[in-house]
Amino acid sequence: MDAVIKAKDLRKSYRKTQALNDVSLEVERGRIVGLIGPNGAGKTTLLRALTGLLRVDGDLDVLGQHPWSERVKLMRDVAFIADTATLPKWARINQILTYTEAVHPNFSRKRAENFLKQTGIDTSRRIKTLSKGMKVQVHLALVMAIDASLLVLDEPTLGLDILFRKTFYTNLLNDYFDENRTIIVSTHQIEEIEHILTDVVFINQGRIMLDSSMDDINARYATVAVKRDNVEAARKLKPIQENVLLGQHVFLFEGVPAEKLQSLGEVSPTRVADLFTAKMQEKQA
Amino acid sequence: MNTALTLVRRELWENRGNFYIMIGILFGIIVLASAVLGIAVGGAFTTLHPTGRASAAGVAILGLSIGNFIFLFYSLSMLGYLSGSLYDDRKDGSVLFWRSLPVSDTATVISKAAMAMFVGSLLVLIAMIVGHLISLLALATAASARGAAGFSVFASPGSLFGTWVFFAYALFVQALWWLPYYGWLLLVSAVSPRGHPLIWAIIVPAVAGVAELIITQSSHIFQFVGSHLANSPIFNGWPSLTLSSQLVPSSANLAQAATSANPLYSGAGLISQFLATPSMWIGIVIGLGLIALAVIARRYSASS
Repeated sequence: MDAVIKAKDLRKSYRKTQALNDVSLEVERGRIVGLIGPNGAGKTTLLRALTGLLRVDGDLDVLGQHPWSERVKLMRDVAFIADTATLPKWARINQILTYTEAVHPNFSRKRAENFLKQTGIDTSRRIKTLSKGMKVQVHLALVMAIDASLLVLDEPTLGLDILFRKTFYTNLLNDYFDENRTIIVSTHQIEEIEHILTDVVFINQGRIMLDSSMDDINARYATVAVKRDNVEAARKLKPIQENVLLGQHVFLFEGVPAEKLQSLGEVSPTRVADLFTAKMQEKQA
Repeated sequence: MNTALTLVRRELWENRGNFYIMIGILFGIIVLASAVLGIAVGGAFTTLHPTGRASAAGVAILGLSIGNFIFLFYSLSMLGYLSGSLYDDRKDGSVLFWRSLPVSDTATVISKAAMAMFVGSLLVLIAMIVGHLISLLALATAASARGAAGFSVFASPGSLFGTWVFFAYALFVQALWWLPYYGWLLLVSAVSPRGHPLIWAIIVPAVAGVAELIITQSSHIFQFVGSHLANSPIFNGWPSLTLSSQLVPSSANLAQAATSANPLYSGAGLISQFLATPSMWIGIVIGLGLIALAVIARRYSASS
């Protein structure tokens, strides 16, 4: 097994809050992992620990390096967007290109310029003159021009309109991703990225609630629109969630064989967003 | 090498105001002032040099006045540059971008110290040389218009060049002398939570100094800070120069002055004395320690 990220019992606390609480995680090469959780769940803390920006307790190995002590070495093979607006406002785009080209052994200025050409943004412009969407496009062009093994994205499309968000993930998938790369992305907008994910990790209050491949999710969970007459029978199978939408009972089942469910009503694949809500409520209950 | 050069370029891009514009404006003022001065009181040139020949000391003093003037304002702009250098990118979040690239925090912090100490000094030197030449040109033109051999100042390039080397040496020793200040500003810039770091940079030593005064009845902090400010290499080559310029203009002493040692040498000797003081080396050790702490603080800058 070719693990890109190996994390065991990561812990981090800020004053009173426990941002990471015994988080263990393994990510293999060639995966696209969605890190999903509410605000303050520990997503950013985890991603910053992976990229050596933050010191955490526990065992952590990213591409064979310890991120905190080998940040510089690691950053040659990791590309990272930490937020939507981290590019220096005073800089011109081509200054950033010149700088990155000089300090980064795996950066191709030509590739970055090609991506930027597609966006139509003039590279002599300063970052502060760009709209939020443009800034994200520039940053994406920059990281896609880095021949990295691991790409870490922390809420990269937060605050952008849907058109930008769609283009962002389409570009990422078509022009960047291949089986040698690994992407880990945190987001609120689960619906928009669930079709590109190979794995999902749910995190809440510093704990991992679910760590599963999409294939396993599809095999393990099922959503059933239950016929009125079968509601009681359905409840006996212990659904993890029950919703009533326009008089229609929709149940979410975990680990119930498909043949048992088919007689109850219409079975459809489970949406990650629904599963997420169910898991969060399950915890609170 | 390429990386080091790029780090320097990065600083110049971000801080054009501190490095170029400051020097540019001052340099413009000096050129204008000296041109006006040169033309209006061109007679002063012949008063200072009765024979119409410029003395080495006269040329040197003009150059050093210009250089010191530029340096004074440059130092003030370095206060702003250094105190903001590790603070501004934390404030606007771009520290996350810079630290997503394979550049060590040590390289980043050292590049900022090196900007203030060496790259900035080099810019001051260049501005001083150009300002010096233009001022001399203005004076020489004005003197020639009055019939004196004004352009003789350019006849002995040795004294011109000597002045520049002298000033470069003074700038270098000065940079070492002020290393504890530079280190302190970098550390404060790397750690200050909110409010401009410059405020912390002044308040903390002031409070520490008063506390020392009250608790131990001693004043080592104030003495160290004060002596490093009041007594600076860059202004220290002056006594011997002003002395010799008083001697040289009297034509009787001219021949003797021509054969005696260049006053710049004794000036340089006074500057070198700084390198022999314990205060200089204590300051360098403190400065390097503060820079090391700034590097550590920088590592933790994404922690909140």
